[in-house]
Amino acid sequence: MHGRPDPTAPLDFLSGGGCLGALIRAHDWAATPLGPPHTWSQVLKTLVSVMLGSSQPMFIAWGPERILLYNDAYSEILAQKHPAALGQPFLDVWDEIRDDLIPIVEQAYAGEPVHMDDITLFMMRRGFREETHFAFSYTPIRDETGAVAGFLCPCIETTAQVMAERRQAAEKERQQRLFEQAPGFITVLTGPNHVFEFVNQAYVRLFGDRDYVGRTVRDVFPELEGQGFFEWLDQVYETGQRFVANHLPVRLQASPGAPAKHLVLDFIYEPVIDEAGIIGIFCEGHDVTETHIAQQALAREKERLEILNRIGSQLASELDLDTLVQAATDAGVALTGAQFGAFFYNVVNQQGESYMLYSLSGVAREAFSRFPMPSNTAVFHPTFAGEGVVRSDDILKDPRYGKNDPYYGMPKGHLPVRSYLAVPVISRSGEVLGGLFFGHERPSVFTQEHENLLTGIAGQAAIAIDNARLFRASQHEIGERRRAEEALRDLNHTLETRVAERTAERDRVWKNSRDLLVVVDADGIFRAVNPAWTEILGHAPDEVVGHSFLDFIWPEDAALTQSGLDDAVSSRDLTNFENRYTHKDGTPRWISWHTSAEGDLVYAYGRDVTAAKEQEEALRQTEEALRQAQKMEAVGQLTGGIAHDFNNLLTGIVGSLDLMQTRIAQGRTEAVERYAKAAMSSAQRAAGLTHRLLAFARRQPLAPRTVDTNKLVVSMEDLLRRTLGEAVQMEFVTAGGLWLTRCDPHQLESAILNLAINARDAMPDGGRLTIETCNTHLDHAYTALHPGVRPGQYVCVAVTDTGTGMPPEVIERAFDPFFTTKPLGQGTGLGLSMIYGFAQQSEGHARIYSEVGQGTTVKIYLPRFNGAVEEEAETAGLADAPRSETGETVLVVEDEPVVRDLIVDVLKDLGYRALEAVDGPSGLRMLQSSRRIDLLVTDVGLPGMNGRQLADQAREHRPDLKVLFITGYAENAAVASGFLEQGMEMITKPFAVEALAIRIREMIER
Amino acid sequence: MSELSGLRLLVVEDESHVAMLVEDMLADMGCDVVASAARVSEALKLIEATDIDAAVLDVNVAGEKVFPVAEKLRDRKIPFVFATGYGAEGVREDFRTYPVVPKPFPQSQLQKALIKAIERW
Repeated sequence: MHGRPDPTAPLDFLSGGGCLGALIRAHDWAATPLGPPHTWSQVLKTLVSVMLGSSQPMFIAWGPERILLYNDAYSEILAQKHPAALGQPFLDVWDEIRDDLIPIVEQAYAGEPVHMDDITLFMMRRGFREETHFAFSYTPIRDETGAVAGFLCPCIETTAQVMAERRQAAEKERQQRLFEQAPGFITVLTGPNHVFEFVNQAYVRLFGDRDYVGRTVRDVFPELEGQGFFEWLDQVYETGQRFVANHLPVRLQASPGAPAKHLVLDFIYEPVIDEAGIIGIFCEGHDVTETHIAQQALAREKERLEILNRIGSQLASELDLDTLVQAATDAGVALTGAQFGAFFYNVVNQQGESYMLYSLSGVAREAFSRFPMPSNTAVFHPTFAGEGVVRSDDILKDPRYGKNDPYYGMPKGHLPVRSYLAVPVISRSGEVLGGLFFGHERPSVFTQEHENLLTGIAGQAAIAIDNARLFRASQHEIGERRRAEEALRDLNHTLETRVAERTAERDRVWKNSRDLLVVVDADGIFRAVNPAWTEILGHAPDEVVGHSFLDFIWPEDAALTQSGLDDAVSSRDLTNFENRYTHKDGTPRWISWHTSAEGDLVYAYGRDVTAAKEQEEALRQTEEALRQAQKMEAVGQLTGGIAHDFNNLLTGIVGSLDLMQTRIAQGRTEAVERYAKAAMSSAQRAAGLTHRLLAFARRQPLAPRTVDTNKLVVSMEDLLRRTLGEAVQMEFVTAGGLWLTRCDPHQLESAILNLAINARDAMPDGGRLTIETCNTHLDHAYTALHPGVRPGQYVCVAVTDTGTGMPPEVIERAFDPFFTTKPLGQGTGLGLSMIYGFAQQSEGHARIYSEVGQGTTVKIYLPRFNGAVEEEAETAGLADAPRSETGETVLVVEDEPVVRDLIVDVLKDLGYRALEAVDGPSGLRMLQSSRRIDLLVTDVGLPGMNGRQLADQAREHRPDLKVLFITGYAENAAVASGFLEQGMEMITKPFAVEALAIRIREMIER
Repeated sequence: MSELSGLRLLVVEDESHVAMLVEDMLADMGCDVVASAARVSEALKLIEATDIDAAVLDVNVAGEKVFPVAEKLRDRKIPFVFATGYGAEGVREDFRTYPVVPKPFPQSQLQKALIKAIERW
C-alpha cells in the first residue's frame, strides 16, 4: 500500500489545521513509514484534512505501525506528550496503557468499529500518572485495496465530568449518612404525590416500619386523612413556601382497628428546589409528645394551684359556716364537672351514724330531702371515718355498693349516680368534720386530677370550718360576757325600783291567783294560804291558817302527804306531787303541788287537777272498754271457727261415753278402756281450747311483763290455724337470739290474732300468712320521719299476707279508730287502731306496708327489754310442784265448799298445813289469833265482808301478811290496777292446780 | 239387730277419732261400713266406685262443704244424713228437709236419723 511518494503532489490537504496543520507540514514524514505526505493515499489525505478541520479531539492511527496523527484539540489530551507524539506509533505514545489499548486497536484493524462511552485510562501525560476517562469510537478505514489501513478516532475526554459526578455522589452519600443517624426524624419526598425517597432510622422508629420508599404519603399513612398533613404537603409543593409546625398533635393507627397512637410533633416541610423548580419536599422534625404532656401537666398544676389559692383565700376570709361550706361545694362542682355535689356534716350520735345535709350544689334541695340521711353504709364509711378519698368510675359496680338495709343501694327515685367522688373533710384536730360528695349519672367522669383538686379543697375547707367554729365560739363568748355585764349593770340600776314593783306584783299574784299558794311549816301547820283556797276547797283562809294539813287531807293520802312534806322540808323540792284534799262539802279534790323550801318553811303552789284526773280516768276506762270490745269481737270471730271443732271434740266425748255404756251393758268390758281414752283425749283437747279462749277473753288492765315473743307467737300456732282455716297456709319465721321485750302478753296475742283475722279476710281465696320476728334498730334517720318514736333497739313482729293489699289512702287511715273497709256488721274498725294504741302504750311503734294486689305487712315494734325472762307459772306439772318441808300454814277462806275442798286437798297434797274458813268474820278471828299463818288465800267475792276488807283488817294485826286473792271472771273488772298492795297477789278462776301451787310457794318464800 | 242390719254405708268425716266412733256405732247397728272418706273429692270418687245403700256426711270436711257429695247422692237417690257441729242452720237451704244429727250425738240419735232417712225413700 505504500507507493512511492510523489513530491510534486500538492499538499493542500494540510492547509489550515491550526498548530497541528503547521506541525504536520513541517514534520519530516520521509523518516517515517508513512513517507512524505504527497505520497499518502487519497484516503489518508482526506482523513487528515477532515481531522484538522474539526474542533473535536481526533486522531488517526495509520499504517501497520499505527502512526499517530492528531489535531489541535487532541493535543490538549496528549498534554506533555505533544508534540513529540506526532508521527510516533500510537501504542508507543500511550505505552503506559498499551495493554488496555491493544485489544481495541486490534479490533479496529480487524475491521470492526469500536465505541466506548467511558473508558478509564491511567495516563502519564503531565509527568504523573492520572486517571482519565474518555468517550470515543474507532472507525476502521480501508484503503483503495479494501484492506484496513488504519482507524479514525474522534474522542471526548470526560475525566472532569466523571470526577464531578463522583464527588457529587460521595457528597450525597455523606449527607444521607448524616440524615440516617440524625436524632430527629427526616424524610425526603419527591414529586407532586410525595413519594418517599428516603426515611431515616428515627422516622421508622417513630412512625413504624411501613415499607416507605417508593410509596406515596397517602398510601403509607391513610389514617392521616383529615388531619391536615396531606394538604400542607400539597401546599408546600405548590407554593415553594416552607411549612413549620409546632406542637402539632397527630393520631396514628398502624392498621384499621389497631390502637391509636397520639403524638405531638415539631417539624418543618422544606421544598427541594433545583434548576427545574420544585422537585420534592424535605421534612425534618422531632417527637415532642413527652415535653408536651409535661408542659400541659405543669400548666394544669399551675391552674390547680391558682384555683386552690383562690378558693383558699375565699374560704379563709369567710367566717360564716353555711356560706363557706356552700362555696366549697360549689367550687367542687365547678371544677369536677359533677352534676351535683353535697357536703354532709358528720353529726356523730351514739350509733355513730347520722349525717346532716349541709349544702348542696347543682340540684334542688327537694331532690334529696325526700330521703333519709345516708346511713353508715360500706360506701360512706371510709369517708366519714376519714380513711381517704373514694373515687369510683361506676359506684354501682363497686363491691361496697348496695349491701345495706333498708334500700340495698340508692332509694327509689334517688338521683342517678354512676361516677362517684367522696372526700373526707378532716379538722386539724383529726376529727372528721364531714364529707364532700360529688356525683354524675355518666360513668368515668372523675379523674385523678379531680381527686387531687378536691383533696386540696377539702383541706382548705377543713381549715376554714375550724376557723369559723373558733370565731363563732369566741363571738358567743364575747356576747355572753357582754350580756352578763349589761345585766349586772341593769340590775344595780333598777334593783330598788324592782323590789318595790315585785312586792306589789307578788301581792297581786297572791290575791288573784286561781291556784293555791300556801306556806306551811315543818310540822305541817299552815302559816298562810291565799284566797284561792276558798275557791277550790271551800274553807276561808282563817279556817285554815294555824291548822295542820291533816285536818284537810283526804284520809287515804295522809301518809303519802306526810312523807311528801318531809321531803319538801329537807330541801328536795316537789314537782307535780299529787294528793287529794277534802273539800268543805266532803268530796275529794286532786291537787298537784310544786314546792320550794326556805328555812323551816315550805312554799307550795297547788293546782286543782281534779277535772283533768276525772277526764284521764274516763279516758282510761273508755280505752279499756274499747280494748275489751275489740277483744270480744275477736272472740266472736274465733267462736264461729271453734264451734265446729268444739262440737267434734264433744262428739268424741259423748260418742265414747255412749259406746262405753253399750259395751258395759253388753259385758264387753275389754273395749271400754279404748273409749275411755278416746273420751279423755277429746276432753283434754276441749279443755285446752276453752282455756285459751278464756285466757284471751279475760278482762284485765294492761299488765306489762317480760315477754319472749318467739315463745308467745309459737304458742298461738294452734289457735291461729283454727281461726284461719285450711285455705290459708301459715308460716312462722322466728329469729334466733331474739331479744326480750316488755309488754302485756295478752294484748300482744290479741294484736297478732286480730292481724291474722284481717289477713284471712284479705285472702278470700286463700293465700299465705307469714308471722316473722326479728331484732331491729330504729335509727335517728327513721325516728326523724316518724315523730313519737324513740331511736333504739326493738323487737319486731311482722304479720304478712298475700292478700288484696291496701291503697295508700287506706293505709293512711288504717290506724284511725272506727275506720273499716269491711261490710257493716263484720268489724268495728277498731282492730288496727287498738294495735297502734297497744304499741304506743308499750313505748313501741306500729307500721303498715301494703301494695294493692301484692299483700300487706303490719309490723309491731316493741322496745327491747334488758333483763331475764320471768318464770312461766304454768309450765310445771302437779307432780313437779314444790312441796312444803317446813310446815307452812295456809288459811283458805272460800264460801263455796266444792272449791274450798278442792283447794284444801291440793294444799294438803303438796304438804302444806291448811286452815279453812267459810266466810270473812270466821277467817278474821283465826287471823287475829297467834296461830302461824304464812299466807291467806281468800275469795274476793265473799258474802258480807269481802276478801279485800278481810285482808285489810287482818293486816292491822299482821302488817306483813301475804294475801292471795282468788277471783272469778266477773269480778275481775272491779279489781283494777292499784287494788293490790305490797305482798298481795291475785289468781283468776279457773286456774290450774299446779299454777296455784307455784304461786303459793313463791309467795311464801319471797 | 235392727232394720238397718246389712246396710252398706259411706261415712264422710275428716276427724279420724269421730270417724272411728261413728263406724263403731254403725257396726253396732248391724250396718256394713264399706267406704270412709276424709275429703270431699275422695267421697265423690267412692260413690262412683262403690255400691252403697246410705251415707253419713259431716258438713265441714277439712274446710270444704260436703254439699257436692250430697248432690250426687240425691241424684242417685241414695239416702243420707248430715252430722254437723253447726246445727241445722249449717245445712244448705235445699237440704234442710234431710235428717240432721247435731254434734255431739249419742248412738241412738244417729240410728233414728238413719231410719228416718231410709223411710223417706
